[in-house]
Amino acid sequence: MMKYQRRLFAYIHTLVPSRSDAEDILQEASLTICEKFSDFESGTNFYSWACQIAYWKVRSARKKYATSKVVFNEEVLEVISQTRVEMEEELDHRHGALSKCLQKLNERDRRMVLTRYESGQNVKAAAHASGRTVQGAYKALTRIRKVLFDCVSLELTTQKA
Amino acid sequence: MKLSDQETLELHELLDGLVENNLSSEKRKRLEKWLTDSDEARRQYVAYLDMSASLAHYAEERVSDETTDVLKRRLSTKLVQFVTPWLPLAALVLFGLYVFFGYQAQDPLLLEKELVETEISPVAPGYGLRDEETVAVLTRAVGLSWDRSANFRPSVGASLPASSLKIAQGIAQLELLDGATLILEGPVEYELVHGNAGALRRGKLRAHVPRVAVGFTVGLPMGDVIDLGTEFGIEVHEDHSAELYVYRGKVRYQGVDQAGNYVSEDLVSNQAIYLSADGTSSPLDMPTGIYLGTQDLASRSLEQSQRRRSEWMKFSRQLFSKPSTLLYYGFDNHAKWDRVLKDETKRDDGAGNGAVIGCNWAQGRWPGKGALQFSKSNDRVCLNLPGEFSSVTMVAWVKLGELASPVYPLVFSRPSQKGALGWSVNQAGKLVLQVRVDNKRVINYLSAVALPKEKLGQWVHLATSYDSSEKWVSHYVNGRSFSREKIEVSQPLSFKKGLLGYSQDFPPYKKGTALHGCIDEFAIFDSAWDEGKVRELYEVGTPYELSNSLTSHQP
Repeated sequence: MMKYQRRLFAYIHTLVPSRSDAEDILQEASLTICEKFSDFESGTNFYSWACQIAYWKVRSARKKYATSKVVFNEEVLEVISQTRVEMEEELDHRHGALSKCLQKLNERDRRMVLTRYESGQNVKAAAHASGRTVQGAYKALTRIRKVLFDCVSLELTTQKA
Repeated sequence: MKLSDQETLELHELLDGLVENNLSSEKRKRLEKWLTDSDEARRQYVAYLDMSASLAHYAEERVSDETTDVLKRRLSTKLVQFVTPWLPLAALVLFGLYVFFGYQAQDPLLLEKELVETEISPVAPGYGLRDEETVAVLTRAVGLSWDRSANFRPSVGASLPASSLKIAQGIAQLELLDGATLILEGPVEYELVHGNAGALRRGKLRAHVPRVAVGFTVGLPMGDVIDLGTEFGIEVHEDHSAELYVYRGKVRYQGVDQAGNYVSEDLVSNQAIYLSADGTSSPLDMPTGIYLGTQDLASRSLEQSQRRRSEWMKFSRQLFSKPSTLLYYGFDNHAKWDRVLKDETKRDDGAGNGAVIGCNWAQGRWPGKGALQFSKSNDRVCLNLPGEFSSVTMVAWVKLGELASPVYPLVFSRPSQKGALGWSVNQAGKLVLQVRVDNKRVINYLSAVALPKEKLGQWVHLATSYDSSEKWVSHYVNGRSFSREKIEVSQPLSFKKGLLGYSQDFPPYKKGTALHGCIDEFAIFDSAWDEGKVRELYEVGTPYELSNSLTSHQP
């Protein structure tokens, strides 16, 4: 299951943009997956099966916590989930391309964006790590995410070509 | 429908606000509408959020790599700091040997390099090579029992200062910091003088001396044995006579006899001499005894550990079948790819099974026994134990390599709930039990220093009991009561949403710190155990010699 954990987290995070909420749901889903593992039919796709469990965890979290854990309504969740499933292969490529694009950033920007994404860290920590003000860090993060997104898209286009 | 540049810009602005959690409800509705209506917007959204998850992944990877690097750097720095003061001395010894014995030494610079590399490579963080007074490490023991008169009774893994070791029976392996390995066979009395010298008062010793430790000297009643790069055995009898046998290489004995005459004898492979109590030497065909080598010791040690392991297995089977055992992870019989940590109580169809997130399987206290290594910052085990408990005892076998982080989490439950708890070791090496008694208040119960530097890298048995009827929190280390604190507010404890080896928000500790160590047994019992029961659990489970090592630890 370990090799699927990153992908499963990414799946949940797509449905639940708050990282800590997504982590909580990942934990719940992981437990259920372990408990119900005997129900999994070998030969079928484990990741799809795990995503189904995760999807229901997201839905039940929505009911349980109203909107605090999940931003979107069920209709939106459904279409996002479908789109995600369709894009799985592309997303795998994007994950690999992101690693290359991170290397293209200058050291200061790379340190800042990775600090921001460490577990339990926030923009303030990222600002501190890069010697920026918090306001400056917000702006810089917006810029860096845009740069990375475009870089990854370009990498994929180049790979296809 | 393809988005225009302006729309893409606006969409990214919304996505940025979403991941930074500062999106107004108006903008959220706008995003929702977009996600419902536009396939292209949805695809961009999915790619963007997936990038966010990937960034989290790479950030954790970086933290994990940096932690490993920092640990390696710290260790290297400390070892180099330790070794550096010895380099001039080592050079002096080599120079002396060259002048007096005509020994063809290597390039001193090369030897210095070898010396440093030899010390760093087999690093045993566990052996805590930090103290500059350390001259050797007790790396292995079989059937070891200290002499009654011994003041210093170190455990396996302990760093040893210059001291006197008196062993009544059994075998001990010492690794001297300058490179020699000694096997002491009880009854034996050996004086550790420094990293490359000692004195054998009585009993048997076998020394393996690599070239880097040339010059290793053993003092005997009437003289010294000076090694010139070899393997040899010495036995000093009760009447102070001695035998010296060279397995390979070259050894020099030099001393004085009773008449004051200087005696010097060089021995090469397979030669032996008898040294009488008055210091005269005579050739010996064969030594009268057999000197155990490192391989003999390794095989005896393996036999012994297998015996101990099977005793532990028998005991733990009884333990986890008792109704009073709420949860029991033995970490045994798991495959490397297993992501389910089996609760051996098998209660409610395995409801207590844990979900392993990220951790790797490693070797536990005995060869073949499993353990989980929590090394990356997201490693954890999610456990599920419903209910509330007025009294509990938590026990764990744990191995930590460093105390560099504010907290080393053992088990934490969801912090917001009343009765939530955090059980951990803090940076000072204290056992900490934290209990949330209401929305605003967490009470901390801290032990005295339970994990001093010398215990790092060794398997340590930790236990904490919470006794609401007697109102005591008791901490135990290696089966001994370590400290006790009065419970301020009795609060039934809850393990809901428990995480093994991963911290939650319990001030002053923050959520998100992994153990950075190994656990190979963890259990929760539904009552407060006394010292006798905790001690029994430790004694059956310890991978180390029990002997009489629990008395004084001072040289």
